Amino acid sequence: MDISTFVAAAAHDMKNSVSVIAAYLEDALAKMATEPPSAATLSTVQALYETQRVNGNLVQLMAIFKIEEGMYPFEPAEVALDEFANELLGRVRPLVALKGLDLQYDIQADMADWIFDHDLIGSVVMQSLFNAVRYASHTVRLSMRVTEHGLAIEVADDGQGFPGFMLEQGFPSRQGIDTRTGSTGLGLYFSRLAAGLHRRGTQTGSTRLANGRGSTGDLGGGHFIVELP
Amino acid sequence: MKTPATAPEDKLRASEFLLVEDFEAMRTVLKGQLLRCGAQRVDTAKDGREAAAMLRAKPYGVVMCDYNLGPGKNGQQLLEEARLKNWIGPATVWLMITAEKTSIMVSAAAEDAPDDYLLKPITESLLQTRLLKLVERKSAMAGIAVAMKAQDWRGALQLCDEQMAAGTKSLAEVLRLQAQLYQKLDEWPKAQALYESVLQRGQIAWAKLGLAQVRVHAGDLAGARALLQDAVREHPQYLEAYDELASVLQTQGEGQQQVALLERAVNLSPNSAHRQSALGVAAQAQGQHDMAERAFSRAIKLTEFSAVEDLEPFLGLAKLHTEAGAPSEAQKLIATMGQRYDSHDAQLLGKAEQVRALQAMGDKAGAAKLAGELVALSADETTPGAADTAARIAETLIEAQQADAATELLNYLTRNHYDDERLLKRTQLAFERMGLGASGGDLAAAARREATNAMKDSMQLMAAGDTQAALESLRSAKTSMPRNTRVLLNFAAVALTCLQRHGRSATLEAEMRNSIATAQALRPDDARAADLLQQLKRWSDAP
Repeated sequence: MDISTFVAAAAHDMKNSVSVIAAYLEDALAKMATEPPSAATLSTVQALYETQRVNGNLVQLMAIFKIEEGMYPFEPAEVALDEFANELLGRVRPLVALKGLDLQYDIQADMADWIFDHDLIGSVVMQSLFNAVRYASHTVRLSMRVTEHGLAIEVADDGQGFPGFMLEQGFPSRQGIDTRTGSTGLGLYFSRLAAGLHRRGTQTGSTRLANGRGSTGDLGGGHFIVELP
Repeated sequence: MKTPATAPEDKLRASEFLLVEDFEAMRTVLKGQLLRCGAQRVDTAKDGREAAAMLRAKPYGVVMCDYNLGPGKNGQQLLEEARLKNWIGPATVWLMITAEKTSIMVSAAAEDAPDDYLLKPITESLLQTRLLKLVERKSAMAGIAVAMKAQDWRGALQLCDEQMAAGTKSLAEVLRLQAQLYQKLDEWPKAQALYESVLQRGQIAWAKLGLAQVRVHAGDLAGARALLQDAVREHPQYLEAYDELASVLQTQGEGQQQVALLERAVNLSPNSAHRQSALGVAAQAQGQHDMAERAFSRAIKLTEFSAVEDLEPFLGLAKLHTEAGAPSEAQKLIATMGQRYDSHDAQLLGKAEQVRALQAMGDKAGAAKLAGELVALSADETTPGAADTAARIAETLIEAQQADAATELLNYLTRNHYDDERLLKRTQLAFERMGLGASGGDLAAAARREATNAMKDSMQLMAAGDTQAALESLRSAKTSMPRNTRVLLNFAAVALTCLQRHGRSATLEAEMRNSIATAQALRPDDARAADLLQQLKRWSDAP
């Protein structure tokens, strides 16, 4: 039997366990909320964050496996942007609150629904938000606006920005993953793949990485942009 | 008068919740989350069987159900059964939980789909946001669902318009329903315009499928095929498009391509029983017996816990067994089918396969006796599909070398349905298979003559004022064609005139009601039957 079949099945099973761990941690956090947060609270927050990362990785691994096998249920549909943003922000809010960060949300007024795969793009933006929360000094911002290329969803923070090698390397192709740097490149690879499934006429979805200063919507730190036609 | 709006939060507090999850730790976690989201009463079930018993016993406002429930029913089968048996109402929210995004999430037909899917892990804030949104939307859409269930297409359309005017939050869903309703109401140009305007905005799979259905209706099979091929290419997981394309290919006589397409669809969603069953039927028609056997066996396994009746895999597999020289295997299957399903179709079609098995075992007397019984039973049926079932039985009887019984049944069908071109084609083919090529045409022509003459006679007699003779003429046509809706309704119309002219007659009134009831059973959507009943009511209510 092909090893990837086992990997897929095991990933599915692990995801169930991760879900339970995450829920227990969230529950524990709700019970231990004190002002100022105790050391135990902060390490629980860290544990929850790590759990979310494991979950995010599993989701992306399974999705890549399915996309490449032609089995991914790609389903672009009308998404109400406000609701979409609120769900994503809801997921990082506990972490943001405990780290004392400022979470900003900026959406162009009267934006209509946009057509894309809710779950796929949701997990791209989610992972990017978790990253921003991890590296931000004070502020994380999610913004959405319509550009000439379509809908731009941006996640910006005011931290140190992406390391140079990441910007240089850009979004790795499957062969180009550099294991020496400690970054698996999975998230970036997945983002590009997910955005690229979205097409409209001759336009294709894309992703960009930048470090702040100069571009619209940045906060001086890391700046991740996904554009959907 | 409008009832005062209740805040969705209040609805959550007032709702009965059912949580179905097989994994105990997860069940505890989810229940806690539901309670913190504002739910006050949460029942839990650990598998499909337990959940079914609870759903039967109590009306739930929200059902949160894991898709994977271990051995037994899965979440989708539970949902289908709950809707089929009316355990849940039109405002009940059904939230399906899955660990990952799978093809089932896009492959279930819209009317079988849950209200939403939640991917694990589920956080409290996400759960609350979704629940509030769903409860609100579902109650806004409940009226439409009720009207659709009652087949009140006009009323449903009216409600859709109201939702649109009020600035619905479920725009895509309302548009999809509107287009479907136009199709049901035979307003195809409106449906077409709606699908086209949705497609202007984006590559929406359901609108492509709808537009293809519009083309099929217009007889443009090539156009429909091109659209569906595009849909299958662009939305490879949207399995409803495969189903529609398969049916177009079948109509075009492209059996091999149909099998290849269904095979692809089945590989994408191996757990869809109805698709496995469709593949089995298509493969069997192409003589690909191994593939048919695999697909049928898989479908039988998949439907073990399903409440939805699917006879094809049993009938198809039984036929394969008998033809492969194992009629006793076929008999076992027919017995299992009879235990699982108790519909008339299941009983009748099962008996027909039994005739084939008996004949193959050499029990010629037993086969002939059962074939004779079947003719009487299937002629007696009055359901909308009864004629098609009877035609299918006749076909099976021909294959089982029961020419006499088959001829008798075909004669009966042709006489009663002389005005149904589609059915006549089918019976004609069956006559030809027995080398009785001209019989079908002759019979149909004779029946048509007889019915037309009776109706013409009765009109002349009515015009001449002899209502009694007019009634007699149609009564004799009715005796000769007891399952022809046109004759039955004409008889009822003349009977009504008789009643109006000559006053009350309990016997005639009963005979009239009987005719209308039979016609309605055969064609439930016939407007004339309902109209006659109303006229009768007005007359009998009049002082």
